[in-house]
Amino acid sequence: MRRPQIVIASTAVLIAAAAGIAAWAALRTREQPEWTTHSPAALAEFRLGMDAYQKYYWQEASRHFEKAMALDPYFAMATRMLMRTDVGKQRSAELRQRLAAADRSRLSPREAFLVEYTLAQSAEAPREKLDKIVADYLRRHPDDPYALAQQADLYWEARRWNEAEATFQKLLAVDPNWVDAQNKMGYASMAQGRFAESEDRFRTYRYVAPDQANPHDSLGELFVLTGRFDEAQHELDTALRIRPDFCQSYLNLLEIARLSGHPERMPSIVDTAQKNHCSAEMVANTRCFTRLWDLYLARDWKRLAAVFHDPCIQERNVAPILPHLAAVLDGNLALAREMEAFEAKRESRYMTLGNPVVPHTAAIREVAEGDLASALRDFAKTDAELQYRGLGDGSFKMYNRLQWAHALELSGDHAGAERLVREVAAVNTAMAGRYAGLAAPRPPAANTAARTAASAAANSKAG
Amino acid sequence: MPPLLAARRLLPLAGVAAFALAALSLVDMYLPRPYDGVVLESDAPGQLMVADVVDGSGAARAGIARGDRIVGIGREVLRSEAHAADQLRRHRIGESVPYLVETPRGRREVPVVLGPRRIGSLTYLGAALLGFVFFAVGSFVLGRRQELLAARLFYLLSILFLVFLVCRLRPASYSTVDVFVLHTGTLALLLLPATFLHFFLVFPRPLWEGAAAPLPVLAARRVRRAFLVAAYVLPLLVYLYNLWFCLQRGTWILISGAPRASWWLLGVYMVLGLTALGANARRFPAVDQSGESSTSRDVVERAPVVGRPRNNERRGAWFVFLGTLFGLVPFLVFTVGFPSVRHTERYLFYGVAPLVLVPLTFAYAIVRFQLLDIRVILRKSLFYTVTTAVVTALYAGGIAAFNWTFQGSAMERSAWFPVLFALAIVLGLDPLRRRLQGPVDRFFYGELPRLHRAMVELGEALSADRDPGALVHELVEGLPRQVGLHFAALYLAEEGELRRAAGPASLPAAIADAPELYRLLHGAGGLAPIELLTGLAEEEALPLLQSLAAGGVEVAAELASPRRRLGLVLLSARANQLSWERAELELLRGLLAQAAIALETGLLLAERTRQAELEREMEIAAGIQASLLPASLSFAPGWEVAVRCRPARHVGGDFFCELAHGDSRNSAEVTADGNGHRPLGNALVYGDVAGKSVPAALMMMAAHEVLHSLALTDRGPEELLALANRRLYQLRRRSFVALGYLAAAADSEDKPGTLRYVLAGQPGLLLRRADGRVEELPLCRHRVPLGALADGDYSLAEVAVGPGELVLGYSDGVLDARAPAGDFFGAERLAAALAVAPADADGAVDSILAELAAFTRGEDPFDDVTLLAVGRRQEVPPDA
Repeated sequence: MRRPQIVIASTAVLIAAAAGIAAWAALRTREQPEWTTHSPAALAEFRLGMDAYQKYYWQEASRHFEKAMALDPYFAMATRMLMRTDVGKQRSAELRQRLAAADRSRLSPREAFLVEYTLAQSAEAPREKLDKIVADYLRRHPDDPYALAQQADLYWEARRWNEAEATFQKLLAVDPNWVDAQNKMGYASMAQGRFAESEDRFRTYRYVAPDQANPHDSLGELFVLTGRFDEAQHELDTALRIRPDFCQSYLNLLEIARLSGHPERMPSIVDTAQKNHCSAEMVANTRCFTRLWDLYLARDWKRLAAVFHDPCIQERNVAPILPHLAAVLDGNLALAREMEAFEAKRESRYMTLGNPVVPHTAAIREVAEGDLASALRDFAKTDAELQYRGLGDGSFKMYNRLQWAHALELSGDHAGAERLVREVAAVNTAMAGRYAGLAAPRPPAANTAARTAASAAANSKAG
Repeated sequence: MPPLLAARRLLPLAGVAAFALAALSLVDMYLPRPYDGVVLESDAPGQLMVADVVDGSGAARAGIARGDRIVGIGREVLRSEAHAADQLRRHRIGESVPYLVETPRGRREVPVVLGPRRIGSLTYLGAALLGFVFFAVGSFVLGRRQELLAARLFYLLSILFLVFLVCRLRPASYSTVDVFVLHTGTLALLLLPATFLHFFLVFPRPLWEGAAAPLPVLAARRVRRAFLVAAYVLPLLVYLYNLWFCLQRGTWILISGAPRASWWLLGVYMVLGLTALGANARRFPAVDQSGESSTSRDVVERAPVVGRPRNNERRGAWFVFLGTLFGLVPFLVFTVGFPSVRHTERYLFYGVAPLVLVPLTFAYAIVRFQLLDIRVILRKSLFYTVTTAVVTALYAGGIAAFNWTFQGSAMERSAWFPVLFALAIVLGLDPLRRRLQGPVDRFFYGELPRLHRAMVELGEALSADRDPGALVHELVEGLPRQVGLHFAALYLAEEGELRRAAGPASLPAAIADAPELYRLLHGAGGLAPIELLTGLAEEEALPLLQSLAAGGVEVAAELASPRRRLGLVLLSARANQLSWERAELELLRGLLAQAAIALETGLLLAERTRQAELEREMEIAAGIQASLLPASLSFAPGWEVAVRCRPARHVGGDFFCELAHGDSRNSAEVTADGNGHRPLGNALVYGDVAGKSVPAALMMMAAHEVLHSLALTDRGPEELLALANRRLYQLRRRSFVALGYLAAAADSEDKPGTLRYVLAGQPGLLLRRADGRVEELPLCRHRVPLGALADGDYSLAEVAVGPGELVLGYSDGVLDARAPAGDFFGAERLAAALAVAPADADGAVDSILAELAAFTRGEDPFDDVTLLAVGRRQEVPPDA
């Protein structure tokens, strides 16, 4: 063969190879197989239901899935998705039976996997079994976004944040428009204090689903946490304009009102939530919270401490942090101890493994008792437990840090206190500004020796 | 070599494919489809990094800037460029589409109004135009010199440059077409250095050929082939391996589409290529105008590659070397070195931009130094187009200035304004255009008119001069002066060879007439470069052409008139080192045709002059010859005689005369012949010299004088003829004289009226009896013509002639006389004519001549005609 032929042949082979690679890539990027159903109408309804589900519009999603099932009673995926919406125990059991009876040989591998997983999950199978089902499937289909989402959710629920984040990352590489992953990645970033990255995630989420309330709410929540109240107000207003019954946004609005110094707005927010059909439990909880806050601002420690015996604390899922503080400030340490014992029996309302309220309240009391060393230890424990994983957790973490800084001040560690306040200010300036007038306990005046010892301990631990 | 031929066929196809790809790529950039104005970073596949934003586009208005990243289009987070293209296709031009952009300040959502695709910057279009121009030059070179490997490689280079400049530098957007085109451009870039290296190995001449070959190791075909295959395949393998490696690691570190290792390898290739070119350029002789420092074989070897193995080769090669050096060093430093070592691509432009020098210097070297024997394209298209564009731009500028000056004025609103305005512009611009066009034409086209003018002047000089010597001088001295040649030489055809009539002594004095050379020249329209003829010549003419090329001859032309071939004109290279263009060769061809006719006319005139002189001399000779023939004859008493001699030319070979026997007036003293018979009166001889015209006439005169001289010695007829034979034989051995000898014998009682005769080569005598019968007299025993043999033996015959009877002697010209139809007069017609002729000798001869004239229809005789009649009178005089 002559040289010009070699050159031309090589070029042709390379071009052919490039074309082959391009064709292969194009084939790979084709959409996954459709969901198994004989009814196009059912499939259309199912897709609408999936869309609503992605937006966290459970009721709407439930209606579409019901319709899909009515159109095709053997539509396994519609049955499964309906189970995942809030349909009640009885209906859920009925759906489980139908799902168990589905002919899996007709289903695609992905559908078969989802059915198996859902049945195991609904049967409250051990987490290890769920992990194994997902892992087995992912070994065969490593890029299946549904399986990845399921695995990430498992990690999320198990509070294995790093693994959850890595799996969501992988899921987003496969399908960057998987909004739930964007949302959870935003929260994951927020939890670790990477607020800029979190904002990018929420903005991406909002970009993909601007007609959903949740991305606005998530972004608004981040802005509340970081003290950008105007932007937060705008996003939350947008969320409520899209879905006035998106009740989580009312909670965030209450936080804006509280943190921005406008407590007078709180009742009307609760009223609006009630008017827009938010659950009675939620309304009752927020009213309790509003009442507690009013008493706190009025510095009426006796009445605030007495709320502990009210249904607000006894029956609602409201943490007794403020009543406990009031009791301590009122010098009623016995009541404070009673509250701590009461809280120790309750589950955490926060995204934590333990209940951070317990060490926090103990630390508050310990300051009042003059046991600053224990107090600093418990404040540190609370801080380690809490992350900025949502507004509730984040606010509590910052509040705990302010009390911790106060304790450090009392122990003589001014630098440590200042550093903590600076850290709070880096997240939320408004919150840090409250340090000056912080209602905090003081130890007995004669307990100087204890103060000195606490100072030494604080220096070694707070650092 | 079928594979090579196949490659020659494939190569143009590859060019067509590349051209189509480049053209479609350009067209694709301007197709009316929604576009945001974002130019993507081509070395970050899948990341959608913004490399540039088209001014005035939707993206620019939305604040998207270089360094940003396009995260989403149309409410979808993007996975790839193809995904982005798919998103854009869902929208229309003019539609506002939400974009999610990652900026240094975080992600933000901006609305982008889509516009029509308008992606090509002026810089890119300039680069693309350069690619197309280079491709055009490459195509032209291939068309002209497809048989040369260097030309084919140059064409391949032009293809790769076209693809590189148009495809690789293409401002890429999201579409898969962009990705495909960019990758094709990258592949072209990967092939480019190997092709460069290959080209420099054979350009201007192969590095493994010649006595001082820098790379003799490549002379072995197998080694060379293995080296070249490795050179071509290695970059591709490295590229593929790197891509595979990148894919395995999931990271893409690309520089202009190729991994870093590929670039370093390509840098090595470039250096090797430059080294090869430098080594090639260094070995050429610095000054070689005479060609003496090169062997003829060298010249022939180089000629097909470069056309002219002189300074041009060296200068052109150095020029290409420098252009490549200044083009590639910045490329290697800024495009390969900086991204590799300093990890910055900030200076990529400064590396890519000088690369343009490479095709530019190639094109310039080819045009200026005719390395591949072309210059037409740039001179006649590009430069002229540019000049026209300048004039047009001035025109447009004038319009703009005029508009701007009168903008908003009352004059502008007038209906007459556009008319006056256009008129003013035209009036103002036209002189300017003329002023610009004149120098431009003179600069770019000046040679042709100059040559034309020189040709006209030379043609006039040739037409005016009738002297062949002056014509030759004008052609050989004037032509080089007028058209700027080193020399011209003229060879004229003489006696089967070409003799140098004028020209430098370094050329051969004579060259053998070569029919193949004439055939080649005839096929080329009478004039062709030696280089071309060498390529076409077979074994016969090849050595001649090689020796002419070695002598510095560049063009050979046949000098021929419509009548005949006159010779050969050889022209050297031009002093200005420019090669001949087709139009110039046409002019030269016309001039040489004119010169041939003028030379032919001159030669004919000279010939006519010589002929006129000759004719005059012939007339004199004819007069002399005629004076030799006796005005009257006194053969013998009682006998009558008549002789007519008609030469075929002015001077002829036939003659007659009387030979006196001693004192013929005293018959008693006359010597007896061999038989003892006494002659009566004078002997009568008539001769016919072999041949015609002057030689025959001279021989005739010699024979005449010999016979007369011998006749004075009173010898008998046999001895006289024998001596005459010996003498004439000595004079000229290749000629002879047919002779008839007649003598009347003295009457005796038993033999009254005897006629004795000798016929030495003459036809037999005819005798007409008194009763009118004609009989042929017997021939003599020995009848060899005089002068034919060294020794002759002649004997007399005799016949009795009665009163009223007539003997007719004649030359063979009578028998050979032809009718227009081609029939010979012949013996039978002669006998018949004699039979009916009058009784007297004069009347008989005249009658036969009249018959002969009637037969030949008055045409000049083919041969000399002599008729001689001897008869006895009826009455014998009383004193006899």
